[in-house]
Amino acid sequence: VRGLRLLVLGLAILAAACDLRVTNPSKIKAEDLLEDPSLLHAIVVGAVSDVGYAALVPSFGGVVAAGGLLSDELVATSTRQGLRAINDGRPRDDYSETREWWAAAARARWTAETAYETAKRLSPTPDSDPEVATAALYAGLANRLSGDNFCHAVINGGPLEPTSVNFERAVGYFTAAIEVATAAGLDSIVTAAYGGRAQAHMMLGNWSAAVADARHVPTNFVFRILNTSQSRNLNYIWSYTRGSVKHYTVWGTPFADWGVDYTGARPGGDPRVIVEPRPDELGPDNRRPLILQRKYTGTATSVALIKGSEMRLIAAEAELVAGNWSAAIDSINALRTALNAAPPSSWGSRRLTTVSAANAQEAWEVLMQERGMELWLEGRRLADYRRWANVPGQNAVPFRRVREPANSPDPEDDPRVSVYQVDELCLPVSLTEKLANPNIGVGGN
Amino acid sequence: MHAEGFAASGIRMRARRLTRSIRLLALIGFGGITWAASPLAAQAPAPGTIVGQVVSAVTGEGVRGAEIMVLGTTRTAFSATDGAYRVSGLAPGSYEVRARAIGFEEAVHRIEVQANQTVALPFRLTPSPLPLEEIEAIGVRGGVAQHRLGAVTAVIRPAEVPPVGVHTLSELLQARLPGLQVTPQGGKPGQGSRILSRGVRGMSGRTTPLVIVDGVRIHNSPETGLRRGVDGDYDFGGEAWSGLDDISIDDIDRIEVLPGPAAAALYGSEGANGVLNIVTKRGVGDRHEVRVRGGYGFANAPAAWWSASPHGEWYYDEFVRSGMESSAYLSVRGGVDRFQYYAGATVRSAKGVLPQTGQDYWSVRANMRAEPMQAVAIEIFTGFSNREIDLPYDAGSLWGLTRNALIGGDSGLTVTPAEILTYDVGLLSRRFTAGMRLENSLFRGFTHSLTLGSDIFDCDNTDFNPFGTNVREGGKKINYRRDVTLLSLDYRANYTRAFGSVKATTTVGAQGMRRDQAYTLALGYNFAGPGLSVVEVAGVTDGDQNREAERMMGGYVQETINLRDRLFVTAGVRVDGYSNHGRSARYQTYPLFNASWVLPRMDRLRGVDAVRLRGAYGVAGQTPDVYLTERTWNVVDSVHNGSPGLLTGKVGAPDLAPERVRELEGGLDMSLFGERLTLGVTYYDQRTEDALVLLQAAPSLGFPEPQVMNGGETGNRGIELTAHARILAGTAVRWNVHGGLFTNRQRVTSIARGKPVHLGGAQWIREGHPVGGFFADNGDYIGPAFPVRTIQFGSDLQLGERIGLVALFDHAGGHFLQSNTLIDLMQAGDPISNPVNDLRDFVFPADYWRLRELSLSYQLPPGALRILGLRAGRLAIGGRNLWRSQEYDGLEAEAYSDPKQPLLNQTWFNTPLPRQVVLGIEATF
Repeated sequence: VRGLRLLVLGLAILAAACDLRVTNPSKIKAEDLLEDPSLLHAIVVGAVSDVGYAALVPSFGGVVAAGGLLSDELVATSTRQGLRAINDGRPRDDYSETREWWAAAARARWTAETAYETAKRLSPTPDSDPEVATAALYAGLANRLSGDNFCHAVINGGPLEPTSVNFERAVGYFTAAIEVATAAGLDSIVTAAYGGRAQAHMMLGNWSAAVADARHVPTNFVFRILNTSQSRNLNYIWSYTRGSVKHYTVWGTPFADWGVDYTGARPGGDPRVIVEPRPDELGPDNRRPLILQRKYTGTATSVALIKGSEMRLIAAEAELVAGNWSAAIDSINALRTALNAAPPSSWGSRRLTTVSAANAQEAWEVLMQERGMELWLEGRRLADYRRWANVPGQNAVPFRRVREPANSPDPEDDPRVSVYQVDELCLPVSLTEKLANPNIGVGGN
Repeated sequence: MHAEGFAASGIRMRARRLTRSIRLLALIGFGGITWAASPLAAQAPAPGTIVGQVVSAVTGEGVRGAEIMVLGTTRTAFSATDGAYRVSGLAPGSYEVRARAIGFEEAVHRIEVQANQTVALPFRLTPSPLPLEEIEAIGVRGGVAQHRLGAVTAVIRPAEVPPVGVHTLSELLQARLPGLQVTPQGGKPGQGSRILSRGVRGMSGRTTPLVIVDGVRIHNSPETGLRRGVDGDYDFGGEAWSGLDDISIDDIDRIEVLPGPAAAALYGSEGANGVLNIVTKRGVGDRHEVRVRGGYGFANAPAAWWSASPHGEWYYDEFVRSGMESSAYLSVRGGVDRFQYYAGATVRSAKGVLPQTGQDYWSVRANMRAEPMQAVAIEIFTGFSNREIDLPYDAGSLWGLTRNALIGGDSGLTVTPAEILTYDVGLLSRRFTAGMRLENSLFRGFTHSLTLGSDIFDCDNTDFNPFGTNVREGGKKINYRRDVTLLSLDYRANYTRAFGSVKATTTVGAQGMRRDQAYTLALGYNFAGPGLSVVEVAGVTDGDQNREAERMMGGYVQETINLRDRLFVTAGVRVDGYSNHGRSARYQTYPLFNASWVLPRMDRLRGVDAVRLRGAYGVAGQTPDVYLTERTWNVVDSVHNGSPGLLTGKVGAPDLAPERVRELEGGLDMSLFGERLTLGVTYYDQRTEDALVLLQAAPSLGFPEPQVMNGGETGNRGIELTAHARILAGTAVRWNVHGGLFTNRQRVTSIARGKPVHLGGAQWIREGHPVGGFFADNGDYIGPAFPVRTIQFGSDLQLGERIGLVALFDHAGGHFLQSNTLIDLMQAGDPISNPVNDLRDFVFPADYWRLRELSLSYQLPPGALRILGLRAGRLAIGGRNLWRSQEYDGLEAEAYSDPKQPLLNQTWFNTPLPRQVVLGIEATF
């Protein structure tokens, strides 16, 4: 009898442990999430956050840092294999850096587009709802970000497609943002969406549409990625150029010569690019000298996505494409005059001088340098090179002028790589996408 | 979040959990005891006693440590040094009494016990050439002799390994069995290990076996103690941790090893990686024994081991130092009548060969067994351990001392070595394990037991960079805590019947498990000035927390047929359910079948003493981690309107099932030439279906986080060979040698998506190749990442009665290692414009040989023992890892870097395993 009682005791305890249900209090289940209007704002906020995150955070500075490395804005001082190879113009789809850049950019696009579709579906006033307008704006920006930096577009598990797909989608989302934000009376979103659409049209080669949109954006307008030191939205360009681990230097780039030497060792220079040579310091590779950027001053420094000044340069470039090089120079000087009228405090007493050109080739050189200075470290340079490499008459464009190597301590051991030597001016879609996506072959075909 | 509030809430939470657990155990224990005991108290008859001596039938000498069990009761005794034993408190009646001891065939006698009388029952045991260790882990209370099991099992007894030089359970397991490979992350005290049993199964890298201590499951997650933060966001230096090493080997009587599913099928969804069933010490017989042990030793890593870098010699001169280790152990064990006890305490301290590395450890254990009445026994096991480990950033960390110093010399790479020495990174882990077992014999042939257990573990990690450091100019403090409560119960019942020469044993069992984990993190940045070090006084603070829960229940039934003590056939099935499985796969069934045939003695085959043929088939599972079935979104901070945002998390696998490993093995054991040579050969063949693999969902679909899915099949087969030879067997010199060989050939037979999986670096999962195999950039196969063979051989030389010399060599080979060490060193050197073009150049053969153990011991003579008042005494000097040979020219071939990704056989700047020399003394009173 006592044994049977023990047996019953054991079975009773076992029965008490039979409940296999568990809950995870720190996660939100996807079930019903996208059907709950009360969570709509959080979904849109997530999309906003993710665009900024993809631009500036993953793998040592996001696609902005990657584009800066692959173009001529930054030089790697890191010993990290991925950063070194990308800096040498040989990005690979299997590097962890490539994986993280692509993953963040792809998720930012998916999240923003999903937020837009969800907001449209759940909002009682989808044609004038600020959430719809905001989601549409960031869906456009996310597509622009991917199109600017990656070699291909991949939409929702589809095949590899040309990046024009990203820009065409961006035009669509910016258009939606303009319409809804106009109805909602959200002027800043309307202006930003015009600026974003101008950027996308420019990359598609639709110059007249680009110039038309650019006209809606005042020169002093700036739409930024907001960063703080207490969120996931951080300015990692600062962290890895001035923080504890300096993966990047301005040494070896033309900007080190074009900009202002903060130490005063070299007079002159463009005040939009301020650099700080550290003559006694080398990067983590113990080899390349450190010249630090001083544009960003901390992880909370915001980064421009759309600027009115770029709109003026879009108009100037449209003139160049049309063969009106003199009008382009006039536009650039008009911009400089406008910038001099309201100089930031970092300029001190420095001002921009007027520029000139004797022919179309020189005018292109001026524009290339002007865009470089005005949009330095804002994630635009790589897309600029890709566009310039495809404009009519590219062979006449003196790229080498803007890629002239800086003095190296040992040039034979450390030859700088010209954009002529870069196989492709874009970041590859990651191997993880190619392996996971049934519509893409293993070799990326 | 303020640190005080954070700490207080954590303490309160742990206290509540501890109190709850103790209450539960006390309630169940009290209720069970009183309920079961109530009908017996009034009818206790005047008891009788059995006494006797267990002797060898060949030599006539007493057999020490023989177990004498009165069948049909819970009464058990152990023989003393001269073989004498005593079992008291038996109700009058007829009993079958069984005696068994290692190396002897068991014997059963029937005897009549009268009230108030003492009856004599001597045993003469016949030596057996077959493996006779008792294995409890296969479900039968009291254990089953190995030779009756068709599946390979093994037993490791700490008392039989060299008396000095083995400090931790990980070290105890190293090179002890063919097929059981223990790879430390590096050579710093307190670092954890990767355990492989019969190679890598599946594709997930989850290789840790299930660990059970006295019937209580313990938490031994492969997650690191130091590295993993909430959602993996925070790194604490990337150091591995092994829960196994919380258990003092001084307290262990034996470890039963079930290497794979063929033996461990009864453990169902947790048995695929095998089982380590740890049995701690008990009281012995009706005597009391006090044992003390002490050891002191040194460690070093010579200058040549750092020569991969041009800064190696400087690094050795500046930073590498002599390590130190000391240990002490005190135990008391014994018994009176119906009560037996064991209490032990261990203290250990180690200083590593690198600055700021070391470990302080102490543990206490108390075990008791009481038999309040003839058919009821109660056992209580309790153990507490405390480990404080200094594990600064190392391996591939940007802030690691070795990495910075070997790449950049005095100026470092990321930061200077001088600054790194100001960091304070460490771990404090505490574990309290308690179990209570109730045993009852309901009627003759039927026994059952219920074990209730609780394993409470908390781990407190700190990462401190003082004010003014380069990592953060204002300083940084991170405090990360992990609290785990694991409650388990285990019920098992055995019923044995005899039908002439056939015996049948039916075993029924049930298990339940509940694990709750809590992760809490506090961060502080920017101290106001130097000297501040806690989160509360940081200028910027933040916090995070997570909660996880798991539930398991399962049961099994097993039938064993014993035909004339020659043929043993077992068949069984287990069914279990696990909360981690998807709905369609929540409940799983695991069959088992095995047979062992002891051949009749074959006089015509000269030199053959005994032969046993065996075969086994079993299926066991590997359950996935918690919360992988659900598609989730995460909350993120955002600056947009000050509102939090939602972002995609895990894509989720709603039908996620445990991977299932089918194992078929067969082999034979032979004893030859008058037991001078014993051989064991086993062939095993495993097939892993629904293998768990960390797959990347297509990022363009919005869920870029890798997700564990059921992703293909792998095959794994090889041979295990063991040999023991008695070369000399005289009284002046006795010399035994032993060896083990293990081979493994693993192949991926299919991948669910049909595409290869990139693990990192040059390592891939590709069909037709081993998991984690190395490939060149052009796709050429280089070789496997895990050993295809291991060899151990050792020698045990006894000179006279007092001097012993033991040596053990260990080898692993046929595999490769990616040297991120050399990649980093090359990239920091000349020429700068030569990045890695093909990882093939940095994948090296990883074969190694080591003199794992070497010890010389001296037993004190009787005269000295008399003078000192001792029963026994021994002096010893021993060494560990005294010699190594490796082809790999990085720092250490026998290491791995990332405990979160154990399939990555890649090293950065892992500390070499140091050479250790230890002096020891032990005495028994």
